Amino acid sequence: MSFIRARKLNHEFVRRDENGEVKEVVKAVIDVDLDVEEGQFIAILGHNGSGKSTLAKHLNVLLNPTGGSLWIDGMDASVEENTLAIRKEAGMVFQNPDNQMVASVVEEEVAFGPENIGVPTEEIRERVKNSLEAVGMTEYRDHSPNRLSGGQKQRVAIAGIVAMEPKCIILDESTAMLDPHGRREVLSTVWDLNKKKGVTVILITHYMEEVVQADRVFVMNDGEIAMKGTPKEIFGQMKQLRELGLSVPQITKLAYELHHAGLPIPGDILTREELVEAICQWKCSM
Amino acid sequence: MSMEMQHVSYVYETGTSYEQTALHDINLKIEDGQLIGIIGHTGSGKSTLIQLMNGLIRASSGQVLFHGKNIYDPDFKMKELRGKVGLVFQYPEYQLFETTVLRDAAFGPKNQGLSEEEAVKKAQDALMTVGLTEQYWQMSPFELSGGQKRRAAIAGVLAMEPEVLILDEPTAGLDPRGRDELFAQIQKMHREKHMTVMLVSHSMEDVADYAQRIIVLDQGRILYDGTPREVFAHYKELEQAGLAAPQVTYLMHELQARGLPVNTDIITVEEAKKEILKLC
Repeated sequence: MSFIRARKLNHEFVRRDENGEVKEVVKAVIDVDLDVEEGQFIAILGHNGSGKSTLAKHLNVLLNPTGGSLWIDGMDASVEENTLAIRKEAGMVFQNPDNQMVASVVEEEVAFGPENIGVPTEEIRERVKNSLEAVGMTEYRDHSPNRLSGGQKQRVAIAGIVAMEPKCIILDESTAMLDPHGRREVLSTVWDLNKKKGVTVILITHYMEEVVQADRVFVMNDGEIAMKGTPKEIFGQMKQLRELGLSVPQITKLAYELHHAGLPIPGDILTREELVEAICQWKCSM
Repeated sequence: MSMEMQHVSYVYETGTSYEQTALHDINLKIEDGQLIGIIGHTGSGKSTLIQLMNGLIRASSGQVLFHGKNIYDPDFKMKELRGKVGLVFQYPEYQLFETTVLRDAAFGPKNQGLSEEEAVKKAQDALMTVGLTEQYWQMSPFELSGGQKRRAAIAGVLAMEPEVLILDEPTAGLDPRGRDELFAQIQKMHREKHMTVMLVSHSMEDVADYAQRIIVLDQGRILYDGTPREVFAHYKELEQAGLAAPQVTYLMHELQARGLPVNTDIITVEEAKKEILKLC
């Protein structure tokens, strides 16, 4: 069985009025089938309100499906006894770090997770040190999280998850508040964890550039999975992505325009290196 | 000229062991009607800078002038400044609190002492400006989508009819369509109301597309201050400052390095396309 396996997963939010009568039923996730293998790097795209975050919250049992089924690492997420075990395996980093800080010193903040799951003290020290290094926040280890900027707080939150050494990390728009350097650092950190330690990564983002190296991309729209495939397959469909409120990386857009202007350049280029090669093949040899 | 900073420094927690200088000797002139992007790594002093501009915090040394008047003079009316220099914080939708979208947007002008009627009129205008038409006015702010909430919150500041509008990462967390729509609206407001707009952003592509002038902060100092083209010519130095240039700028440099005769002062997709088509 896949590491993450969802079948016809549904989530409905029921809104009630003052008298407790059902006012509206919002279907946030509709019939989602999802298979993620251990060690994959998965990206989920979708406009605001498309159901990405609701889906993600199922992956560490912050929400339970209102229909369908979900297994994480062979454990049925709807069985309450599995909740803690799943949360140990799937750590989640949210968008706004202010809502995630609990301790008064950065080191303690990072230690909170491993302490909670019973890691021995000596090992906690080691993990905290390594995690802070991994996110580039070592020099702030004795600062108060309150005094950090938004981006720095986010890196501390990620360090807190990393210190729990989960099998899977879910980043729910965790780079939305970071500067380019911070974004690169966070992404290279999660790529490192993915490549070296085989951590499964689920990256939810609005930055198309962050997705180009992912193994698979899922695009959500109004609660359903509207597109899935490799980054090349997804970004090759610029028109459909636009209709879904999304865009393509700047380089892909340029390649697409050049392609349609009649140049011998493929329209589904994802990276700068590819585009430089394509332009050189056309021009450098002449 | 709407705003000027002279030798402004700001130190947090003076005299304690946490003392930290957020801004060093900043000198800036903001002319009326400019659309300015402020970029800088996290912790570079951007948020401190914009809070100084509407008097939320007070400079440790130096002066801030608004239309030539020192805002720290005892008889300067700070409350008026806050109406004239509108500040939209990061994630402003967390500050929505009223029962309807219209009432929320009318809160600012009412606080400025306007009558209910006048305040509502200004709120309606502001909501229209950000593209929230009448159908949304009686809804609870919490029924809106993420992008709509963001715009409702911005309308609350616009309703006070500021001369200078400062937005701290207005598009953070918005999807690409929401980002494009909000930027288009900001540009339109800037054009039609001749408002001075300053926006703090982490998206180099966005400031390259929209700003007329870019101020780059690095460790509390101004590293560059110029047109996007001038600023992004320093792409290597920007990287050292934790920033970057737009992807297409790198591309042009790489093409030039491969011996192709292209200009490298390119900052948008449109410009890159034109430049590459010249190779034909």
